[in-house]
Amino acid sequence: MSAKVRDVMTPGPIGVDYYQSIGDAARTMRDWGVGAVLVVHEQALHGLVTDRDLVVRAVAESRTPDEAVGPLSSGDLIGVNAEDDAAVAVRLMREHAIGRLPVIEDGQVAGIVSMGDLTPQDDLASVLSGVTKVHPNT
Amino acid sequence: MTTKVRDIMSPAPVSMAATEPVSAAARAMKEHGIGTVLVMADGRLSGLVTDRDITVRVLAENRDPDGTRVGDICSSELAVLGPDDDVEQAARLVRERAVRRIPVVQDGTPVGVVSIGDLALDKDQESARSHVAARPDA
Repeated sequence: MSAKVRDVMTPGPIGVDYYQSIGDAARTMRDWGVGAVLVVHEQALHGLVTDRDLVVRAVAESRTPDEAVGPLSSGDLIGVNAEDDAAVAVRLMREHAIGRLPVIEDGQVAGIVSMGDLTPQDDLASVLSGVTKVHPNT
Repeated sequence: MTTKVRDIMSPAPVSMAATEPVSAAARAMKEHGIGTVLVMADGRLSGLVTDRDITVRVLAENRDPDGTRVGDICSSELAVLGPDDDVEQAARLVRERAVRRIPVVQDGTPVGVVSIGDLALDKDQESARSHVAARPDA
């Protein structure tokens, strides 16, 4: 049986406000053990920011940790449905060369699924079989 | 045929001295499109620092990226591979040590990095040929 996105996602999306600081976003990632947080602006989803974004768009650009995190976030979000097979998430990540997707359920963000969720270290094989299903002819 | 670590590793790893500032590592990650910088001390590999490390150990802790040295935040409990090791050995280390990236060292010199993503890609190609990935114990 193929896993659904819902089964592997990190539920209860973790978000920060657009005007919260880069340091706040980093602490949120640390405290929740996640690599990405959603960025909310005026109660609407504005984008997603990853730990890597904080490094290459803030530290590498000499921004200070007290600056707002919002401008660092990636808009133009590609989402995946909670009901989709996990393999769909793998395909979307590959096609768009991204490591994380917001998971949408009933028009709301229900969580985030990351490449790490799809490649748990204790069960590489099941993921890889999922990957194989996506690209049977390569 | 057994795949070797050299066949799947990302070659030409970026390394820097442990005394370099974290901000230099962040710039290197941005410029080279990488998430890992190897850290050298006394001409030897002494650790590695990832974009995640910078987020959690510098930004989240309100440390100054210009005033913190990579040697102060790098992970130093290193698992290493040789270029002629089997890929299975790499997969085992990823699981046992719960690490995502492993430096590849030849004669004391870093020659590459293997990431969990490299392993997944290799399995993907292999499974198309022999359906290895379908094996539950693979």
